[in-house]
Amino acid sequence: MHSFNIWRSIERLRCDFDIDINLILDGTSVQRGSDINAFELMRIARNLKIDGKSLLNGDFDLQRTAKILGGNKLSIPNKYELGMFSSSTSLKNLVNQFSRFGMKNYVLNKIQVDESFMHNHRPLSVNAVNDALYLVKDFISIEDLKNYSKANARDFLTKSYGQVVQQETSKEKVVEAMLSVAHYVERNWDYKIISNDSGNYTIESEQSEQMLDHSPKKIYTNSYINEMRTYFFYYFMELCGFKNHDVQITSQEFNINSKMTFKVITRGASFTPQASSGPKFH
Amino acid sequence: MKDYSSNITRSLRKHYGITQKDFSEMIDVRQGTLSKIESSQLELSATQWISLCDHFKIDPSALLYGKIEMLADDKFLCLDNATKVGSFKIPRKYSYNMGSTVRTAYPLIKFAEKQIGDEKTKELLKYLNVDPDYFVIQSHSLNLMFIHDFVNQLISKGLIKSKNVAQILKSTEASEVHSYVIDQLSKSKKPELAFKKFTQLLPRYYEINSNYDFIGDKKCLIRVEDNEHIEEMSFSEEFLNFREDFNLAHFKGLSQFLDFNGELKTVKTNKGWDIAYSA
Repeated sequence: MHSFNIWRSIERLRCDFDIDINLILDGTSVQRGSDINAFELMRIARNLKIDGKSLLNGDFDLQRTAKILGGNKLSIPNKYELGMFSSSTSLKNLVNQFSRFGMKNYVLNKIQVDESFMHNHRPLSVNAVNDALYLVKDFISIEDLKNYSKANARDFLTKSYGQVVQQETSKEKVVEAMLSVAHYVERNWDYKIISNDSGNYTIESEQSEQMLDHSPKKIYTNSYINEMRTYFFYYFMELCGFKNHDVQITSQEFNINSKMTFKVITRGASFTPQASSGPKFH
Repeated sequence: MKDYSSNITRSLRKHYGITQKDFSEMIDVRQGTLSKIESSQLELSATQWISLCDHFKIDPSALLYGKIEMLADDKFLCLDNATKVGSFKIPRKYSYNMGSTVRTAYPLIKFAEKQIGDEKTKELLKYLNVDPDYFVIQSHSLNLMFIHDFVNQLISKGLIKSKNVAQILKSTEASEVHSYVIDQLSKSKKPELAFKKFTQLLPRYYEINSNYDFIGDKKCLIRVEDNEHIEEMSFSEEFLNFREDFNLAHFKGLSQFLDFNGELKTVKTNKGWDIAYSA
């Protein structure tokens, strides 16, 4: 029964998108219409640059597959082209963190994003990051979330938006300045800062209307997402010159939206960016 | 490209110490069918394979490469003493101070397969009293004595010579061996930063047999010294020379991914070796 789904997809690629069947079946000895065993399934999936389960179930984006096979490696599924307020950088750091489990190619094949798409900072729907996160959920540890957030903060400061961030964060009130550029990272969240006389800051964030237009609300109930964002701010501040022990996170609240309260004690050396003003979001 | 489904199936079952009867129920096949799949008399169906991968949370493409990097319940490497992993039995001389992993031995095994073929490599592993299926899961612990014995076997067969050590890493692709590490490194004008990150990742991922220190004014020297537990082992001179060259080859293999075109050299010391690099 499952070979039926496979053949249906293959026939559609052949007929609707003019993909050479020899390219699809390369390295296998299957006869058209015959039963497909595990090895052949994986060979065909490899040829199509998708994962085996999606091929078995016939649930992958044929149009994107055709574009990839046609040489357009930067093509991504249509569903990730809506509300592109997150980035390929975020996805890259997430999959790299889990590559030690051999999950990198699996996740990329599953969500149908080619590795070359992540070589440069490009806009991408947060749904791609969230789908990737779902696929690695059984492997996640707090340490992984911290490492991911750290890599994201570093990339944000050194590669994507270096000059913009430097201009803003060189100001005295760095926390406020940082949040004023937060929308360069993504526009999925709105932020509000509350500071009090004793030097405590509270960052409250909620989903932006733009994000709600494109992403179902329920996906952001995942506490991993909130943990990742909190650590992102933490490491961002550390890279901006606040020494590790100088920023104390005193409380966190996670539900659909999040709240993080912290105290800044001293500020260390200034951050020196390496890169440019960064691309614009679509 | 080969079909490694029987190797992967056997290895997973043994890793979790599950009988064929229980395993066949888990993946919904008859016990007789599983037995034939494991002995390569019968092919796994596409549905059975995906069901197995879902159950054990592994990347289905492991079937094409014959290895599993890490399992979901794996922790980072720690010094281990184990005569049994699941239903894998480990000879006593290889079961103490296990500060290395199959991942470290992977290039050597691939090199042997290329030189003498799959079957003779299996025979060699069996001769050393280890189950070839143990080497499917890259995070399985090993001690350095196993690598010593395996290398000495290859040396005695004339396969490893002082001049071809670098070739061993090339017999796989360096990017495959170091894939996780490469993903964590960023290209930098300062190679010491990348090398330092590499040496920080080594103990979590590959092995904890050696300690790496960056010394000197310009930090252009990496001092490699064995950790205490290695002192309990005794190695042949040939192996020690091999190890030094092999370690250097790892750094050289890594250099190409960091755009580092400088020179790397090793110098023997009392407790290990120094790796010097210059831009």
